Amino acid sequence: MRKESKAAALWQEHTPEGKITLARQLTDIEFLLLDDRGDLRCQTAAFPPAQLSLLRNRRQAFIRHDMAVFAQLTIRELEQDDRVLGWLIADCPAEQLKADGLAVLEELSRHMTFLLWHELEIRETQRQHRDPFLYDVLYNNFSSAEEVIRMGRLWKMNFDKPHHVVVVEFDKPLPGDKNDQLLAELDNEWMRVLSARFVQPILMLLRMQLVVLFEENRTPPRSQSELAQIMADAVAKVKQDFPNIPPFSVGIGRLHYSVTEICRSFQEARQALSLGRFRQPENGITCYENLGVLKLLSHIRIEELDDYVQETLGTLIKYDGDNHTDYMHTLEIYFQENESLPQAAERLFIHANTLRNRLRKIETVMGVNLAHSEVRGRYYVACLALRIVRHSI
Amino acid sequence: MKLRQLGFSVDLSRCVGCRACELACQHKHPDTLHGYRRVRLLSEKSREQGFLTMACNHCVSPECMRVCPVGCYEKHRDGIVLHNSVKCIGCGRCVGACPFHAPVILPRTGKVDKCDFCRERLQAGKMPLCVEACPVEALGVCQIDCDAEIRRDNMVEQYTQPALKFIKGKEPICFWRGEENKNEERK
Repeated sequence: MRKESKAAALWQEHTPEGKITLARQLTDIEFLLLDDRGDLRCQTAAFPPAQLSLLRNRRQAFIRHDMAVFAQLTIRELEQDDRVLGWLIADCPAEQLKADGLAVLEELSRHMTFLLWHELEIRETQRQHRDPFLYDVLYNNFSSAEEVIRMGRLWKMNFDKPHHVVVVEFDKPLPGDKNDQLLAELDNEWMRVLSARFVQPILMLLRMQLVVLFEENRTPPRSQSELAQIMADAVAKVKQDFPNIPPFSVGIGRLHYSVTEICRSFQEARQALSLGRFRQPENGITCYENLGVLKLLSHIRIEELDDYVQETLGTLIKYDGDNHTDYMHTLEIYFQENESLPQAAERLFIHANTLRNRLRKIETVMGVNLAHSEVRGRYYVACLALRIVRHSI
Repeated sequence: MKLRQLGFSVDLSRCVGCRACELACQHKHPDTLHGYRRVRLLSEKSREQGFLTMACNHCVSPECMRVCPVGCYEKHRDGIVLHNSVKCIGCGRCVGACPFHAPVILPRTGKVDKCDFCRERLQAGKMPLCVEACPVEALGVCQIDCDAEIRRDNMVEQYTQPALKFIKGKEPICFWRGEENKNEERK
């Protein structure tokens, strides 16, 4: 075969792998292709392992353009518009290459330059679509998990590993421009704080919320309480660095192991954020797993909740109205502070004995004994329902 | 990222409860008992016309998506929430979880299905069948600027509570419009 036709034969293949295999058949020279970071892209089957390890060990030499160490190899830099796209390497010193081998090498380097440039163009276009891609991941808008994992690698996202989903939102509505600006600042702060702890946190601003995804690389995975503690530390750090930031709350979804379930984790995080405000209206960190009875209450009609509140707490509310007392508030704080007398008393600015007396009075008014767990459970649920009703009407 | 979000708009002051939308949906989906759209009779104390037409509201936080154990639901970039019947195992969790009762179990297949916003008609440049069938133009399709509108959440609050389930967290994309809002617009 003439040397021009040998080189022209390279057009028969369309991939880098196919082209270097064909070039090997045409010239009996082993070839190897490195990408722009010096990582192995593809090679022919019999490329000498010793040369390969030399290339791996001296990767920095490519960056410095110091090719003297590779005297036994012929190296062609693949460059387009002053940008290095990779290197094509032949396992033969340049002076030993015959004319037809040299022609194939030159033609192959042109082909590889085009292919790598084309791949780079595709990658850069795909990178521009990061946010829509993340939207699709969060809303399960893709055809297969494999596709998402492959696409995610364009942005160095390892969706083959499980991810936690956390949603952050300001507690009070802010004017449009200010909200955008503060969210962007929050985005920067969270990125800085989380980057110190996690390999590749993914942050995205979506509908006035900051959505954070990060990889779980521990076995067994972190529990939600551990995660809540990490988030609490991160919130404290953000507030320390950015003291004027308006109050914001955090919702944490459960850890699901497949990328197809990130959408569930996202919805759980949003629900935790939304319902968590009934417990702690500002600066709250709520895990979906800890929502407990709130999760059930959120599915009940407001009228039914209102009926339940009136049936259970109606007597106390009426007593408060008639006697200008504040027993309802006392009971709510008592439950919010996990039935701890010292803590509830501190929050109410009263002595623990005063609180004890008030609780006794509440028992008398309602005709119940709060020492019974069933009674306590009923009144705890009623207090939560009352918060939802108050918030909704 | 600028998101598109399609939604239904209902002009309560125009709706006369003729159920044309309901019938149109039923005609398009003969496998269902009643189609995916329902016209509900509401208390006249709180609604001037007393009718509320409702299908899937293509929520921003779809409950169906949260509870589905096999990931049947997907929300597209135009905001439409679609159900993938191929994956559906007919567990009915979404039917119970949806505050609007949008997903229904089809008697023939035992699987769930729901309003898809007549997606193929939208792609062909037409309106959903229920919208086209409305003789008084009470039902419409609106494109919402999510970032601006969702924070305001006024009309949804005003016209759905306390008559419907607790919905604030779900952020449904449906705006019910009544006389009061018309007056506000005129001002």
